[in-house]
Amino acid sequence: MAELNILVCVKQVPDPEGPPSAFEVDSAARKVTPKGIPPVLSPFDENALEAAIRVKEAAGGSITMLSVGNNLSKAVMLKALASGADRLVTVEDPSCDQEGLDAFATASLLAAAVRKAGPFDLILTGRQAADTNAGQVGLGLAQLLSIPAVSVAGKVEVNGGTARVETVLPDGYEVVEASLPLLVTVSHEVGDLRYPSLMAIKKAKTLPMETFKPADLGMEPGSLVINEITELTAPNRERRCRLVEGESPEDAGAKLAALLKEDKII
Amino acid sequence: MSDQDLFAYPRGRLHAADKDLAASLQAMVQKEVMDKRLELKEDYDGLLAPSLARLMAEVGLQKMFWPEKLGGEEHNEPEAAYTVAAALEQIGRADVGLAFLAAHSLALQAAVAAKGSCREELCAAVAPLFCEGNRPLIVSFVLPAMSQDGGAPEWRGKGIQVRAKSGPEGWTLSGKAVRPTCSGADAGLFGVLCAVDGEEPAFILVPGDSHGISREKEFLKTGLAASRNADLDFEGVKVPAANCAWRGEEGFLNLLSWFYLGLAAAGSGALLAVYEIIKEWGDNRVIKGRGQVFKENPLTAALMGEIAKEIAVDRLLAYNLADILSDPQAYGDDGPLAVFTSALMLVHHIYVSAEYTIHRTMELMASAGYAREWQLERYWRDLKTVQCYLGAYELAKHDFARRFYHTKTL
Repeated sequence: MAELNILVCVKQVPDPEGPPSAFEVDSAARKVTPKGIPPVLSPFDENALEAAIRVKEAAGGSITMLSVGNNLSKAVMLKALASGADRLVTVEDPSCDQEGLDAFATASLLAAAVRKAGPFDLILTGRQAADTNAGQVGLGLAQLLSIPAVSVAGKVEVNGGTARVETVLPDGYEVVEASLPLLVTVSHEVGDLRYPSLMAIKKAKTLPMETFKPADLGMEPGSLVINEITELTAPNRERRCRLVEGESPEDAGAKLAALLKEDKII
Repeated sequence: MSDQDLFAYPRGRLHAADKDLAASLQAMVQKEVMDKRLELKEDYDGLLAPSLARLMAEVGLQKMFWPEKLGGEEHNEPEAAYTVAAALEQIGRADVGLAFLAAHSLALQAAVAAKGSCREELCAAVAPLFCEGNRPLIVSFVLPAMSQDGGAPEWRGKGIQVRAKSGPEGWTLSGKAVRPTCSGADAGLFGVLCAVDGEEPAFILVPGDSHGISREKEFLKTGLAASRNADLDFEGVKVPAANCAWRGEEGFLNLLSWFYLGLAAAGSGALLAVYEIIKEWGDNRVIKGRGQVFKENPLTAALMGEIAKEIAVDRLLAYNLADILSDPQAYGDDGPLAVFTSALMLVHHIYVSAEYTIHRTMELMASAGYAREWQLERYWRDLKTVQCYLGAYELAKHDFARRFYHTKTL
């Protein structure tokens, strides 16, 4: 088999570790604005990149990172590149603002970019993005490219033209083998993305980077399906206090446990 | 602007890669060390050893200066002093002990492999220990110390702990109850200043697994949990002649100057963490009965202002030392002794100031100041322990006197 071409689709999101108080919900403008939170790569996409690096270490090949968005942070992309990718392709345009694009539009843009920058043998995405948690883009992309997909992977290996994927189940894992080309959505069980060395940080700036507009991919901005948010409100949090009493501490504990089970907390 | 950037430093002197490395390290230590502190406290195996491995081997701090042909990153221009400062400041912010260990490795690399003074034969002998494989190499120094051995040869008022003899097969080292600067129980490489009969001292690199090295029981300390220190015995330890890094004072002074830069940056980083802690306290702590947060009270605000002043000055001093090492000619090029004296003065100044600053912060935070949950007291313990390894301030003052008053008998 020729050199393995791996693609990792990544999304830039506001740091999900940021405090809830830093997200301002503007009901009138129907927007959620993060205040003072730095952009980061969506954590599951970091896992996907780590999976790709491990495949490359074991089977050789090269890794291309692909991202769609508007005002993508160069620092975020360079850091990810420095971790072990070889090339960066971005689709950037005001019409590609993540807040406006729905999952199908994002998958359509990614599919068009894959056709332009590919071909790729193995496409990895995060299992879901940290901002929307929808988990639809990866599988949508596979459908649009007419390639098989395996979802929620905890481990990915490639041997010749076949991939062996361990998918995460609630009570264990399942091993799936599939021929390439293949799309795999990756879960955190793969492991954290490694930290780049100084040499890799320096080298990242010299790696090939290409930027496309939707028009370069044969897609007109007007043709993209845009989300329309009809209503946006901050959740109304109510705090209620309920005292659990019992004839003895054990009795009170048992009643508390029953209530917690009833509310599906335990 | 981040909170750290409120404290001025010569950011324009740092290369983009230095800033990216510092940002990456900041994110790493936040996630790997700072966010886990209450969970893991001072758990060496669970917290500190994996973090040290990632810093040294994965991020590659132990490969930074070595030539590329030997597996290193060859980031060895004098301007790398800024890289060292930026990196160790971020690590020190999370854990002074980790920064202390990294400072040893980076100082040795700088002294042996820096561009312009690179010792090729020595690099070829030692670089594989740092660059091959993915295991962290812990470096420790055996420096002159307050000695119990009255007959020990002196170096600047302190006793040299190990004696060495040169022979046809290389060097043979001997020393009893030798106290290294760190990690006596774990170090993979010791840099040892040795007395040589009738000759100038020699600085010799000794692999930790050399025959004849025995390690005493790890001793308890109040700080620097990342360093498992123990006394050593050197009984006829033999190393090849090529392991002698240099004879005489010049190279040793250069090594110490880079070491002090690492310690200065670690201290500055610890103070940035102190700032974050007192800022959170000042923002949220309400003074009983008045409904006023701490920082809005004129008296406490003045104390918080003084703490910020000390932190700001110490950070500038740490980066000033990086500036001196990156371009000694700009400071008059008076030679390694002048640079060493400046480095020694700056690092002592920073640690005295840091001790005072954290002390004041602990007082201000009352019982939270010494409560482990607030993390503050840990920095005090760590910095105080580094001070011990830095050497007695009184003896350092003699070094200053030698330089500035040309003393004859000290």
